[in-house]
Amino acid sequence: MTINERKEGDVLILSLKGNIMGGPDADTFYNKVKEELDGGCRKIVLDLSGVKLMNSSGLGILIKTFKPVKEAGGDFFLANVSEKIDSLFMITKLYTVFTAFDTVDKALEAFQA
Amino acid sequence: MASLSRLDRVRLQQFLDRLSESSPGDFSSHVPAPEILRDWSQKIGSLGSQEDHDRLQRENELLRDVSNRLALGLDTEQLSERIMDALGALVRHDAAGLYLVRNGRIIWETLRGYDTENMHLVKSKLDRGLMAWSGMQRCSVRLGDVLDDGRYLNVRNQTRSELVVPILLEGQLMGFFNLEADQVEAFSPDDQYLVEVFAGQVALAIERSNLLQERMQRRQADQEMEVARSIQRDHFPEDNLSIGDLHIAGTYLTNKQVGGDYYDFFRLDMHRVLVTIADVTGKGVPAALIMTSVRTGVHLLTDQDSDLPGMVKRLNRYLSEITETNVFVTLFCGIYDTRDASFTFVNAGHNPPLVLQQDGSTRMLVDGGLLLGSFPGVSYEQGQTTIAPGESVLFYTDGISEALDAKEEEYGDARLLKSFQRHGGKEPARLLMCLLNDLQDFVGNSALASQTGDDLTLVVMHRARKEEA
Repeated sequence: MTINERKEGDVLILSLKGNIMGGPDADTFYNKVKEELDGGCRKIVLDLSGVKLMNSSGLGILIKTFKPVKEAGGDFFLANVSEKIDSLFMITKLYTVFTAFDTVDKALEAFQA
Repeated sequence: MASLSRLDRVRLQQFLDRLSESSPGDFSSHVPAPEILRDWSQKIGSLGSQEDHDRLQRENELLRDVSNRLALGLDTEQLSERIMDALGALVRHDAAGLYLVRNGRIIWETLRGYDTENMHLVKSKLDRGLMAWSGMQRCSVRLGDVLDDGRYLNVRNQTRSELVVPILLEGQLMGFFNLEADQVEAFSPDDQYLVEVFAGQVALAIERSNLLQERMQRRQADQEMEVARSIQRDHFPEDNLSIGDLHIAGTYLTNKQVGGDYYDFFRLDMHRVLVTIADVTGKGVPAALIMTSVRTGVHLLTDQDSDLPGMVKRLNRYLSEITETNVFVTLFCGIYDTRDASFTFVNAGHNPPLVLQQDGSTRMLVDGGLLLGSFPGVSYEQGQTTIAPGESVLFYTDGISEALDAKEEEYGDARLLKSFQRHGGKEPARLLMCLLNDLQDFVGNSALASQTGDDLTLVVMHRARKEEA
């Protein structure tokens, strides 16, 4: 899994590529978000367009990363969720806490609103 | 050709016998081997290349025998005591230490002849003094008079000469021998040579002992794991269950000895049965430990009122407390009541069970709430359906739908559904077998659980038609 980051105003956009299956990659991702959070960032978009597979450990790391952002009063939007990952979020009912958008732009618009 | 005299052989044999019999603490007595070895060493020292070859061969035989006797099923303590006994027999000294090191730290020491109040200084020998030097240079060092050498670290006032020999295995530092004597020039070059050769064999003996201990630990771990597997198996219902016109069967396969899937069904009273299926993130022992908590929670929190949303809410709060945020559990639980064929349930983020209807279509049991263990404050809603005569319900974990064939294609929900539709209506235990057979046909020859790399759990509930009942 690789992570690319860019900023649009005060929004951090993290693009993940590869498989999210837990392991050391997961820590890298979590630490990156934690670092940004400590630096004052409260708006994060997670672009999943490059993610092929995500297992339950991968899902676990998204939850672990999501929680401190919410607790700090921030928001953590998902974008470009594949059909398979979408189904995982549906089954686990994680959409009751996560918000997903079709594209990164739509997620950015939601932050402007 | 160099050979030992008959007398030497006898004396050598006595030495070896003594070595194998000597007990820890049997240090002061002196067995005749050093003389033999010294004599022998001097005798062969002057020989030519063929003799050198023979000498090495003989030396190897001799010391391999020492090594065999040393490493015979001994733990580190027994082994190091035996080594110190052998060292005492090999070279006269007044104090000595065997230090075993790993990653630059002393992990074991056996000391003899030191004052107990100086032990803390003895332990600093690895950082300072001759041992530090010897370890760095990977070679032995012999001091005729310690007072003449700045590298000497005084931990014993009466010491006048010292011999330090590193214990090396393929260049890797495993430890040291440190010998001290009260006279100057107490250790000869022969002594140094003997301890060096001995150290080579000791390195092998220690390595063998380490491997043996690792093997014993692994065996013990395997035995403990087998007990864990047996305990976990006891957590699953032993038999299929029938209550009124409802019949239930379940199966669980894991590619490890223990796993994180859980299913259960048990009677709440004469009319009602609770059915549960759950899947913990991850595999193996960590998942199995959480699975045990889930089972305990389900059993303890299910009361006669059978308030399922309340039970799941409490279970979620409990699991959130005991698990890391990134570890979660998906769980489905439902209560079937024979009096009205109602099935009330809570689906906490689990793959929705499928109800196969009489016309071959299915409906999914979705109502409930979030997965368990990550968000402690959430509430759950209850769903309800009625199980009509002839309907079957399939509960499963994602190990089934995510099973891969040789081309790494997933079995998927669609194939599982088709298989269920094909065999639906059969008696539950038979239906389970048919579902597993279809899955086996898909994944090929490999064992199911090892092919999927995940735990597989299936539970089937079937309400008999009137003519079946």
